[in-house]
Amino acid sequence: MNTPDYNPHQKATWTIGGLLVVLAVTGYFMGLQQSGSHISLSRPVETPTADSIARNASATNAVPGIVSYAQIDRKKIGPNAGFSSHVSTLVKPGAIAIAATNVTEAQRADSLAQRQSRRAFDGAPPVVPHPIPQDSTAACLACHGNGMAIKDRVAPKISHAHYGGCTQCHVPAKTGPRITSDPILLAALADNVFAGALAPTKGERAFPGAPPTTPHSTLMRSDCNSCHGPTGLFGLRTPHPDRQSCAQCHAPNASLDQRVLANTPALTR
Amino acid sequence: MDRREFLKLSALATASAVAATRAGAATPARSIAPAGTDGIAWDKAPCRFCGTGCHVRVGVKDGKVVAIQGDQLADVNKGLLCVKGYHVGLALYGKDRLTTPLLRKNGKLEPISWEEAIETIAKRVMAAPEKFAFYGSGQWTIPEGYAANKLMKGGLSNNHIDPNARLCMASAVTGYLSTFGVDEPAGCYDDLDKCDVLIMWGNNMAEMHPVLFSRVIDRRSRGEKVTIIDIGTRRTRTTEFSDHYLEFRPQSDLAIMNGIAHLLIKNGTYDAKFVERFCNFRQAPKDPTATPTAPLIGDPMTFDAYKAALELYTPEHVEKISGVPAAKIRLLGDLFGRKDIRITSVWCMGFNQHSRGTNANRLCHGIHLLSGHFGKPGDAPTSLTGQPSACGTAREVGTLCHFLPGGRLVANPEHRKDSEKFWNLPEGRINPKMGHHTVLMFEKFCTPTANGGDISTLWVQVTNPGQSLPNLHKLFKAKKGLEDKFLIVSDVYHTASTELADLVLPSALWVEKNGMFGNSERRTQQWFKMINPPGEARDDCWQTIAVARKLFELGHPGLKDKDGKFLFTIKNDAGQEVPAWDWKHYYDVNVDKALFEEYRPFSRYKHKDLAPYDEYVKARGLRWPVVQQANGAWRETKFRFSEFDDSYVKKGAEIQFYHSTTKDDKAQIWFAPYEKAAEEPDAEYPFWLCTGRVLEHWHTGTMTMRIPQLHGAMPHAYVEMHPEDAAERGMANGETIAVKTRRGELKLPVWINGRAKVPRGSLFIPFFDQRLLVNDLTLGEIDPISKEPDYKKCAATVSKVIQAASTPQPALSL
Repeated sequence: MNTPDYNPHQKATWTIGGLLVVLAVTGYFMGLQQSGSHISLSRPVETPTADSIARNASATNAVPGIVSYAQIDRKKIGPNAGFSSHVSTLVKPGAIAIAATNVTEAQRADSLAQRQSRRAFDGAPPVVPHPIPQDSTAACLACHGNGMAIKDRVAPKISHAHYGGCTQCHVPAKTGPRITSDPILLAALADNVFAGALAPTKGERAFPGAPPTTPHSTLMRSDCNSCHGPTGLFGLRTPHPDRQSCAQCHAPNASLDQRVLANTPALTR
Repeated sequence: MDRREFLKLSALATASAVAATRAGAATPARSIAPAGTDGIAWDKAPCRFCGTGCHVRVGVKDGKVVAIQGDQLADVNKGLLCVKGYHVGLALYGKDRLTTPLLRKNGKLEPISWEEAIETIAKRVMAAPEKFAFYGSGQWTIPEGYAANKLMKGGLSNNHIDPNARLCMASAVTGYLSTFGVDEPAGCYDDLDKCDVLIMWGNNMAEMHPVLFSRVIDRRSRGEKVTIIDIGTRRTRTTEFSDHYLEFRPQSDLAIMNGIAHLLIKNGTYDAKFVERFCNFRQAPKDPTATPTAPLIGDPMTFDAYKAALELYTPEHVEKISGVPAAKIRLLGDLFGRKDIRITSVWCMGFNQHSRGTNANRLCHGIHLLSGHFGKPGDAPTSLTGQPSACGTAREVGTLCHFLPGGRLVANPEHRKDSEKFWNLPEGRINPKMGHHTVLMFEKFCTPTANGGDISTLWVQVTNPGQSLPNLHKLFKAKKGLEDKFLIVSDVYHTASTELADLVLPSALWVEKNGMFGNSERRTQQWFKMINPPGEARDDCWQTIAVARKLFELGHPGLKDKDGKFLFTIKNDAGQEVPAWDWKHYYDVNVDKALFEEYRPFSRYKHKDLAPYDEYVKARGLRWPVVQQANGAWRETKFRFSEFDDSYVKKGAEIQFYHSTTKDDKAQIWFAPYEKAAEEPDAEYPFWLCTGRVLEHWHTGTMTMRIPQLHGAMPHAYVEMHPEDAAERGMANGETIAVKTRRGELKLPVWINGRAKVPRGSLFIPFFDQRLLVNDLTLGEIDPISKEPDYKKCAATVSKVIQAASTPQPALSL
């Protein structure tokens, strides 16, 4: 048999060593717990509110006290004290007025012009007015999936839900990849003199007070609130966003929508 | 008759009446619907760009295109487009459209009249008809290609005509021909709606065929399950949507497919019944020069010999060659071995622009046939094309240097006789000798006459070889300074090709003329002229007919048919001849319709039956064979060779390859070994260099680079590089670096971790930017069977560029 000899000294070494390991592991996890954001069972979870954010922000006027490393991520100190990463407080449009009962012609024209500036023609997929990750479209939906408004910046909700490849149609014009500043490479080959169709200004009303018809195609524009909802451009907003069934009163136009399927020779072939 | 049926019929009657008046109408601009209250009139057209063949609705107001919509009536795209398609109307309106013919005088292009231009061409041709070559395009409309083909092969007895499609799908053609005996996919896009597994072979479908890719990924949004497998050499936007990504070493796709076949046989999961009933085995012929078709027919092979040849390709061996883990090879083998799923394979330039492109195509068909994943909706090997009419005009009209219309060969005496009969030509008019294929044509054009350069006048229509040919220094730029060589370019903008042109002709573009295209899924499409071209720009088809007429007038005997009549005698409905060569009268009659009806009988020989022109006016394209039913209706075919859909298959046959090369109604499963690429990285040139496209730009970018939305999104070309390769060389994102091959050098910005990600030791450069010509670097090595160049693989090296003090520094805002 090749059994090692019994050695009492070795036993002591093993015991002390074992104790040390246990201590180290316990200490490690205790330390982790202290530096992590531990939730107190005796105190309700603090939800950031406008008040609490303001309170935290005002606290920065005082000389910041010394805090432990474990507390740094939870103390509002320094120049970024007012920063909040809680989307729930950011996405609410807050100050944006909901009802615009009497939009003036000028406001409407202004909004239409703004809309036009991102489209080659009415009905063209709008270009993206900001840089995008070039290798993924997943990020688009983070803001545009449900729509988002942060102060005066609005990420409109997509109005056609079931298309997944966003960049197939929407490209970041003028904010495409700028990996060089070489003016020669950034210059266009030539100007383009295309003059695209403009958006219709207004739907028709059968009589004063009648609901206007939908003056544009609803192809790829199935969510009216995307443009006409409370976060839409001011001149295009509905005065009654609480009413959800738009087509109940505002009739879309079959010829604008290509809804001519039944009359199509192609289908009878 | 119930009310619904009555409504349908009366609608049909009205529509047919409208169509009938339109087809014969003399006015150039017309539209289906009268202009609405907004003054916009809408009409249908296939998109001008890729081979997908989406239909768009074109909105015209006051003689200008003002809007584009996806056509909801179109089967292909069902109302959806991609960003290029939505902006296709803007392609017409670059400020620098060519509006007058230009002749180079003392080194400068000067405006001349159309009369002088046409006469100049005709005189050059008359002086040396055998030294004239026509370089056409997969963007030629069907009538344009047909007219050019007839002028060359039927008129001048000269087969030096080849389209740019040689550079993009020639290997798909040889793959189909040698497997099924007849060109073009058996399946269609409907397979994309039905497949359980989609395999993309070296194909960045999300960027190159976005609408078709959406057709698959949108199924997921609707709750369907489809497994998407991306087998590629770099991570792309397609990879993002894929369940599996298999990154292989360039060229080793051949080994991967052999690995799948190996597993199917080893595991006994191949479809023995299918193979026995419908397939033979084939290998490369001992003597490929025995007959002109020997490389396509090959030599027979027994199943045992096939099995033995595959013995080598174990998953582990394939891993060694390809870098793809053996487990993933087994995953593919297992998928193909399953009978309960449907598998669709798609590919495009990855297989085709390959020094063994024909074999790559064959092997893919082979694994589908061997596993029985063929002939049912969702089970298909399908090549995708890059140009809107590569199928319609290059492959079907047969504008390649060895083809006659309808799948006939110039080398075949019966085929020549057939064509002479259709064209009413004297016997023996058609030259039996194959013409120069694209690469050879330009090589001969760029070689001094004294050194055997036997092409002296070259007419280029609807394409841009000065940017798209490989190895440009040798195959295009070498023309410079050769005094007796004369380059004619018909185009809509100045391009890299017009830079060396001696004569530039301004052409009408897309809806500025009548047209017909044929897309990737055998779908023939038609549109009408909607607006006038700018200035003096004129139809390419008219240009060809005008030159033909001038040759006729100058007394070239070939421009007369057997009865002494002009080759392009076009009559109106009343039977009177219309002088179509006179631009004033070109639209007195629908020349497209006349030429298409003349071409139509050619299509029967290979059962690619085309319907009458007026049927296409009514439809958003029809997939051939379009067969007339007992009730007179024309019925398209979605699934060729399958009894349930193809009326040419014998009852009870289930599947019948009725153009089999072995004449036994069977398809051929080819064995082809893995072979090395024509040029592989070495110590001096340690990188693989691959070229390709991006979503925003179409091919050489002459149209899309003039569209602000597309240019803004992708303003210039770049070179993709792995971050570690860049770091080792001290190269920063956006820095201008030099990429060098044995053919040339190019300085351009490097893009690291950009839209796509190349593996270590690889570079990628898109070819859309005429200021940064990657084809100065590419190899130009061709597949021995299809004569298509390999643009995807050559060896390159990179180096830092010492920046001049005034050169702007890279500005990063990704």
